[in-house]
Amino acid sequence: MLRKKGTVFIIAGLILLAIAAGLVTYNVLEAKRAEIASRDALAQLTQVMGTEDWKDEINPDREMPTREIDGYLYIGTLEIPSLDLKLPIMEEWDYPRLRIAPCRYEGSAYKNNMIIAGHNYPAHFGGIRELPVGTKIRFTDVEGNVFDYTLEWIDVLKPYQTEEMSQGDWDLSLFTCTYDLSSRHVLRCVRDFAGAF
Amino acid sequence: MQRQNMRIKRIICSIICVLVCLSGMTVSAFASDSIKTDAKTKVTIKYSEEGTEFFLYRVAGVSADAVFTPTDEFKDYPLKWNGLDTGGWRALAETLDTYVLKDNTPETARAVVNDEGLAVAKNLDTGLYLVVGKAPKNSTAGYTPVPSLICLPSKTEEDEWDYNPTIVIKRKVDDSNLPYVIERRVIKNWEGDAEENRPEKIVVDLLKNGRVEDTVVLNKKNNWSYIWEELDSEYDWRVAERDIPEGYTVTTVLENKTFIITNTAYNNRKPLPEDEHLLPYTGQLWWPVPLLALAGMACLLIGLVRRRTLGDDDA
Repeated sequence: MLRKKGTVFIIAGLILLAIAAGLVTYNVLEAKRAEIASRDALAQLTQVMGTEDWKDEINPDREMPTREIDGYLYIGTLEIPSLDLKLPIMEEWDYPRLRIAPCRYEGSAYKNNMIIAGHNYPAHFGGIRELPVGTKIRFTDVEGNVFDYTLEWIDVLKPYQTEEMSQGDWDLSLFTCTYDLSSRHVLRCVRDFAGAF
Repeated sequence: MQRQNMRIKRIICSIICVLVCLSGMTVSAFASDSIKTDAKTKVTIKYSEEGTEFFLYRVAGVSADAVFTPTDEFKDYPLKWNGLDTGGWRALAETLDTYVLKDNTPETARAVVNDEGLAVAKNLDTGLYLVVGKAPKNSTAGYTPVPSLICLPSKTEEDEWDYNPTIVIKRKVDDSNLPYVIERRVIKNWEGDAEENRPEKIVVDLLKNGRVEDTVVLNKKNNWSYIWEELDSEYDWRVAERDIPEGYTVTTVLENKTFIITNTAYNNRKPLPEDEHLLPYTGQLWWPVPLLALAGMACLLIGLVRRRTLGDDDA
């Protein structure tokens, strides 16, 4: 009887280890797929960006221009040199889009209130949770207009705090999930007009 | 109470008039007394170039308490006529100027600037007037009059209605004599609405001296913008939006080389949708991995120990 119980424990243990291994495999493959998807999108996007000569005519009320890549609209690229990270940014968010690249959650770079959501894949926003205050961040719209920012504040919000996400006079906000998915790690940035990027 | 309301109205009117004057616009429709709407008025236009011809279009009537109501020619255009700020008056004047040209609207009156720099139009009904100037042929001044709006009667500094006002028309650099081709861009702006309420596209006509020369569709895919290249600078180029979406007003202004068409939702638009959603989930499911691994290893260990212990006992 005891020997039988021991066998049950061994089988249960193997099943649990198999589930853990399956989850790891799925996450790793998913992260790799997301990395390739965003890298391909970035390569295509950079080829069609900044070809217009209207850089000095940014109307704050203007809709952010977009470029279409593989059926999705993109508004520009985001660079974080300290992470050696450059990502394309989609024009609007939903879950299928977030699996390809970070997305605009709301706002506009022209109105200095843009919020960008990104998955915590290592190749997307996984690394931003470690960034210190003072980190330089650059957004470039598809017409080549450059917006430099400095990380000034870090918030942690619960998923239901949608109003808090939009509050505050922040020129740019980036957010991704915390490790346990229970909160959102939010980087609050201010515009760096000196261009000290 | 009524006296207090009148006082508040006077303060608001004064602020608006100051703003309008600062902008170069000439609308000044508010003063303490009621307007005698059936009176006749006269306006003297001051402008620096002799021979410049001014066309006056009565675009709206004005009530005794200084509220504008568009005339028949303009009532079908979704324009905002009251409660405008400085930029709003300027945009309204430019937008009306385009419609006047497009529709070939007959002027209410015209007057030519004399050698004293004055043009006089008499016997005008009260109301809001669009004043459009046309430089004389072979003008070498290098500038043209800016389309302006004026309320007749206008308010004086003493806060009284002047039925014979004098207005100064501003001027802008005239690039129509430049002997090369030009380009023009049109950009569509949306204000005060939710993106999901917008139409999928709008249609914009390019007008060459008031006649449709080209028609383009603006939508999200072209970023609500379009560029016309190689336009002959000898012609007057404007844009006009067709079939303005229901629930929106429209203004069109030219800034540098760009026409900005702004559609503004007015209050009875569908309200912005309630944000019922949580912040998006942007994480991978990693936290169960160590728990599962630890639990699995523990089970495995217990099982192996039990089997080993039982095996030893059996032996």
